[in-house]
Amino acid sequence: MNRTENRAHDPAVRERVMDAALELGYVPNAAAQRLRGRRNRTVGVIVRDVGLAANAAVLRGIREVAHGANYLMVVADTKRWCMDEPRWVQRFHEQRVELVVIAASGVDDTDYTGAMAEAVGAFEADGGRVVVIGRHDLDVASIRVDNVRGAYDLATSMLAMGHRRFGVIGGNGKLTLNRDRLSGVRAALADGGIDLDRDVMYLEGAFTREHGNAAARHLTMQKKPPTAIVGLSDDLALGAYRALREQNLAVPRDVSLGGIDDLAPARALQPALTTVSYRHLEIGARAMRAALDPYLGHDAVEVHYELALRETVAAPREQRTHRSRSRSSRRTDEACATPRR
Amino acid sequence: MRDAETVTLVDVARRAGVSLATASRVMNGSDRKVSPELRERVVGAARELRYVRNANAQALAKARSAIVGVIVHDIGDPYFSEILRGVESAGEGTGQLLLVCDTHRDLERELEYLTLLHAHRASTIVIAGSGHEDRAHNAAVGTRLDAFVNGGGRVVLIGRHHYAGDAVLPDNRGGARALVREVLERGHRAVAIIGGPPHLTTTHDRLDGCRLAFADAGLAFDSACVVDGDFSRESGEAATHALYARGGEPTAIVALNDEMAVGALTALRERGLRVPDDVSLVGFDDIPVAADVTPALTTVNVPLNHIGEVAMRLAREPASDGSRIEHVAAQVVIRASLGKRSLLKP
Repeated sequence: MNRTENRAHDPAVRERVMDAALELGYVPNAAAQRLRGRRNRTVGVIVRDVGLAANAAVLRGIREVAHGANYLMVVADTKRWCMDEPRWVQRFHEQRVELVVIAASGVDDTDYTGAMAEAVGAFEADGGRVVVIGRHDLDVASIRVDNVRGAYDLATSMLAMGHRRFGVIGGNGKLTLNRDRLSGVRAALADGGIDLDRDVMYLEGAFTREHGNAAARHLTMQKKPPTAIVGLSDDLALGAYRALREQNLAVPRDVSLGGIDDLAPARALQPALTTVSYRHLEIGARAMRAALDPYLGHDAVEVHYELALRETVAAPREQRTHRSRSRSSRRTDEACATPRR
Repeated sequence: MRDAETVTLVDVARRAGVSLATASRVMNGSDRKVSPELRERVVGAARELRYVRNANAQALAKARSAIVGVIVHDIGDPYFSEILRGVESAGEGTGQLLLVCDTHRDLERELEYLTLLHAHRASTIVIAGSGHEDRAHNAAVGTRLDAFVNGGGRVVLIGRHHYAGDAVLPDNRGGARALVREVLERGHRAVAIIGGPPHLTTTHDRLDGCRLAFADAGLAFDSACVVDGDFSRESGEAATHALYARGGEPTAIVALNDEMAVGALTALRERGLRVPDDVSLVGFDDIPVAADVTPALTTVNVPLNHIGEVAMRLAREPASDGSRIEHVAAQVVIRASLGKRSLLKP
């Protein structure tokens, strides 16, 4: 009944015991089992919002490997209250969960990092294993993606199309994910002679569609609206995409739009979203494999990305009107204007 | 395996030089007053000794935790993401701890999760995944849920399940009937349906609604017009290709959920078919992306957030003798993907 490691029981006997137990409504008492010191073949996963498409893909990846290895997966959603995360690690510890995967970005905050380090340290000291996804300041195994370079490549491709006036929509500025992606965009623009901090409108908020939508509205209502909008995640870009359509702005004719993540909806849109492919399914799968592999120690595993150049980025309208001189004189004189805050 | 030498609360109390009762009040968050100095000493001692509060002993003592277990078929499916958001917002501020269990539509695993949640002494189990048309499985689920309820647990079901308990019931049949009526009223007769997993009650009810709409219009329903899907985006794409590969020439495609409709849209685009000029396409659920795709998807709005909230409301009300059923209406939302049948087409 208690699913011991030794599964060599006669299947017929097992069947009979299970039947009898079912008839009696018997359920093994996990609390009692754990008092005796047994660990559960369970992986506890911590996310900040199961509703975000990026998280959904990572969770699917974790699930595939977990179920394949006969582990159950329980997912705790902290609803972006990141200080709940160390408490969840502790709770999983108390519940004698065997593995923990933290599928949430690192947070640049000493209280958070301190509490996490303590919870994670205690969990591992007690024989459990923890894997984090992304850049965390924690001494555990991690799955890394190069967010700086991915964002750099995206912004560079937009510059190469001739864009000079950018708007950037970010998520929570305390997250290492946001910081890395923003610094990638900043570096690319600097290489193109544009100072992000001085000349580009950057709107920070949460990594949600709602924020992407509101921020894009704000950007388009500027006197000199950007010709290119970068969402630091696909969810942000998807929100912006809807906002642009609602304002009857054509993408990419009127405004170019780039996201980062490459989630399922990115390909389903028409025009399809230009983005950076981060292979979230693989990230999740790698994280679970790393959790199952104690020999990996506290190493970092790198998952590669590629630029997905699709249809939402084109040359800015001004350039085209320069050539043809036919339509929209409205913005022609702005072609070479320096974008301002 | 855990070390045999587990640090207990007694050790913490001894190290801090306080009574066991004081240590317990501090560590277990009792609301009885403890002076800040004593609290400091206890917390410091616990830290030094690497004391981990034993929730199991607590769980045995209290018998119930604040854990709400939600069982879903696929955590990556926006349908469940939206329901979970509703469950969360209803539980905000109540100290509810949400644990999501993903069966990936595996019957055996569903049973394992039920056992796990019971064993963890969850206070509530919400079965958000559709019920199954599988007698043996339903009996096994029933046995586990009965045991859970007899032990004081609360169960809420979303969708039609073969278990007598509190439930939130979206009108899958009525929604599908109204949706297909809209399709038929636009002159479509060659209608293909992308179905869901055959053993799910949701699939049954939505298909039933389609059949009813045909009957309402005095038309014969040919079950050969149903192609298999499994509610995933990929399956919608594959089913659409299969449909054309076998020579089908529908003027309208009805996918029994939006994810499959979005997959179908991709396939149609690949085949060079325009929606809705060449073929109309409709979905079901109204997940967020339905309004974003081009053309925007005609679908049936199932208020998923609301369903999650109602489920939690039911869970918090004390158990009653009979089962309470909350019916939730499903409304057709007409968007650009549904057009009139072209007169030039068959």
